[in-house]
Amino acid sequence: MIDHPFHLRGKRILVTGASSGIGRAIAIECAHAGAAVVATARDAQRLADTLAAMGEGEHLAVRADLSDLEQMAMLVTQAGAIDGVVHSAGIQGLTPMRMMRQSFLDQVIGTNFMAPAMLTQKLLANKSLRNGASIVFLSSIAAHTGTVGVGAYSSSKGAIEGLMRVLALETAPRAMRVNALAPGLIDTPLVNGDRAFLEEKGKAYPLGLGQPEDVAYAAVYLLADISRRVSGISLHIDGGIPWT
Amino acid sequence: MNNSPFSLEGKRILVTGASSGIGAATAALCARMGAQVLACGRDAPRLQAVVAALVGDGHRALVGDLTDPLARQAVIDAVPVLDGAVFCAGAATLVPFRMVSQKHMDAMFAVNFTAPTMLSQALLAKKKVANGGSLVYVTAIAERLAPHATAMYSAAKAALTAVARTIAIEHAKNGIRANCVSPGYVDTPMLAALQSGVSIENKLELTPLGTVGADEVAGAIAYLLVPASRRISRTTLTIDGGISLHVR
Repeated sequence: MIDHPFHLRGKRILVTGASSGIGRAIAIECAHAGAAVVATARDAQRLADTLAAMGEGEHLAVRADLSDLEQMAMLVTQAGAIDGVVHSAGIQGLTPMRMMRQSFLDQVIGTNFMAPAMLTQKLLANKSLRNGASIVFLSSIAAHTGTVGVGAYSSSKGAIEGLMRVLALETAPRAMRVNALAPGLIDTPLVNGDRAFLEEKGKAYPLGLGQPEDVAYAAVYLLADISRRVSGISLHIDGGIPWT
Repeated sequence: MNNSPFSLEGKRILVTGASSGIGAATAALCARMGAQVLACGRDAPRLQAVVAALVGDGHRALVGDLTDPLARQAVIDAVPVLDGAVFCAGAATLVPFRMVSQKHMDAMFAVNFTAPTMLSQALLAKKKVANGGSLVYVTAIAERLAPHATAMYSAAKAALTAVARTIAIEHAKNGIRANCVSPGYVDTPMLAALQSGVSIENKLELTPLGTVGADEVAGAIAYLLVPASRRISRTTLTIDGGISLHVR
């Protein structure tokens, strides 16, 4: 019998953005690792698909739009006491700066930064996060690299990493830890509309284009007790790309 | 076979510095996860005790001082093609910079830099790392924090990080990965020896999540060895209980 410390048995984990891409893979892999998962997203049908894919377990799907503070409060109530949260809800933000509209910037910052920041605030204020809980944000190598056209997206991810370090210090007295995952390009519906473009971009990654599972396994590591002394890090999952 | 992405079943893993501390904890965890462990260390009785206590069969003790080129050659000759190698062997002596001697510098670089670097070079040159293999280097947050009296230790660890990053670029075509695990203060015999010279208790109290356990560093290393981390390379996983948060 092989045993390893990368399991989440006995833990209840909240996963946002769970209807698609990285968020769905995280919900499913957390379930495989033994967690009870509270999966949330805006799209009820796709969320139901995620719930079905998680299989047996005390899982829960909660439809919520995190840009709406009332729906966020409802989610916090439904989630109950949790041992971890993975903020995987996010959107792309592709536009050159000279064409940037404030409404677009508000939308990207709102989804990628404000929503995870305020959901964390509510979880802490509500004492939903148990002592020793693990908070995982989704950053991106875009927070560290320069790439033409991703100003709004890079800014939102840079902001989340700044918040992550502060939260790590503020929550340490309760043995909580706060980390970020920084993937490179991952094969998800967020970016795979144009297959040829994606394959071309993927060539820059020495170990190949990342899959949602690669990010999900890293989330499992950061949620498991074995990483209880890892805090404030940004874990790069970028196939060894030379830029970082 | 075990299809879990977190299994090391059937993998052959070399662990240096395996007779104590992080190396001993890594050897134990890799064995628990199903690996065959090739354990290197200088102290024969301690190394043999570690290997005797490993779960499973086929583990080997390779006694030798890896700062010695002949000992490195003996390891290269003795090991099969590896699925992973973990470079834990290291040593720290605190010396204020104005007191640094060539001898101290050479000693710090020999064990912390030259031994893991040249062992890696030989393993790769002799094709002793399988396609898809994972190399893990134990560095230290000192490489960036560079606190008092650690100039040569910190310099050697920073240099090792640079080597690991180049290996990652050069060997990605074979799916070989190279990463660093960068611990803060870890509860090991090396830390105990440091404390006998200078009190660093005030530093330990500063660690927001408390002193890191050797088993927790082994867990970070094991994560970088398993297939679950197949797309992680050329990076550093810091495990320091948050002590470096103020200076990131």
